[in-house]
Amino acid sequence: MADSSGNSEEAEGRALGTSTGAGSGDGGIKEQDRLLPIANVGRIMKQMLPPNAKISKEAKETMQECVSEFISFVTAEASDRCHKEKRKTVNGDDICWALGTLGFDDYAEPMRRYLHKYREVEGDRSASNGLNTRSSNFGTGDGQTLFDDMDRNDPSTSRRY
Amino acid sequence: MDQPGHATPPLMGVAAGVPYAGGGPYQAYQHLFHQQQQQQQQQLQLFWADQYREIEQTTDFKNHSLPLARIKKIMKADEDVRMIAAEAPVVFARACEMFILELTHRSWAHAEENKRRTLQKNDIAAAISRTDVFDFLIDIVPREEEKEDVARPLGAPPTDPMSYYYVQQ
Repeated sequence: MADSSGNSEEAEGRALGTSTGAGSGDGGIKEQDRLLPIANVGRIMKQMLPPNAKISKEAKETMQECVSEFISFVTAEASDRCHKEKRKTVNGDDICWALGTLGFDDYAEPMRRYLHKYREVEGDRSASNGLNTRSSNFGTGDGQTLFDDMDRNDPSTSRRY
Repeated sequence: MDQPGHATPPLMGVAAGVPYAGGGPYQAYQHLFHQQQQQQQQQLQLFWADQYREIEQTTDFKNHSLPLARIKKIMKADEDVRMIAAEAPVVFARACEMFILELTHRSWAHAEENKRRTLQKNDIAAAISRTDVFDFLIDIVPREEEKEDVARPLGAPPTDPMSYYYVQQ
């Protein structure tokens, strides 16, 4: 049941910020699972600093928390919009839209560009392997879902900004 | 970014050649604070231009600096989220990278103001409190933001009051 689409235990674990996974027989998210790996986070941070700079462990941990919060924050907004438009799948456009709506103006445009390029590169692949049976209303394949069950009954409506 | 961040110009010390037009220590700090802010703004503009350019040159969408599966897990922690298109974690991987870079950049400015070469949690707290778009992070660093520089621009001197008057060698 670990891979359910989100049960209350998972949400609770996240809200409490503590590990509900250890020894609980698990429906909850383990502490490590709700954070991105500290090594990756630290590496990216380093790119932004002078060569002789150091980063305290606490700072890296704080950054981990911030990134997870960022993902949750943006996802919630994107997901809300999907609900309103009666769509079941959160896609890249939703993320870009949410970034813009939440005030990350400097992110929205570059990410739209990134998404566009991604679709150009990956779109051919997913369209040709037959998995993408949902209508790609954007004109380019938007990739198959990561979940096992594809929602074939969901004609995702396209929208333009 | 596959190279260390460009060396930031010194934020400490009065920039050579920029006349400071008098007043007491309070005005001096205000002046310097605004100078630093302007410099930081410029750096951030360059940063965003860099990011855009890098994205234009991206061709590899297979290798990411952050694990897609983990991103997906974090997204799924939200009960209301059902299906996630494959492209969504891909977009997030890049967006999170930008987020980390920006927050680090802003935090580092605070470390430099305090003449430290080690980035600390309170630097991140300061960056969060100074940046409106990061308001949603306020709960992650609750007390820290009060300790440091909320008061400082109003006149509380940094560790070494005279440091601002040293010209960077």
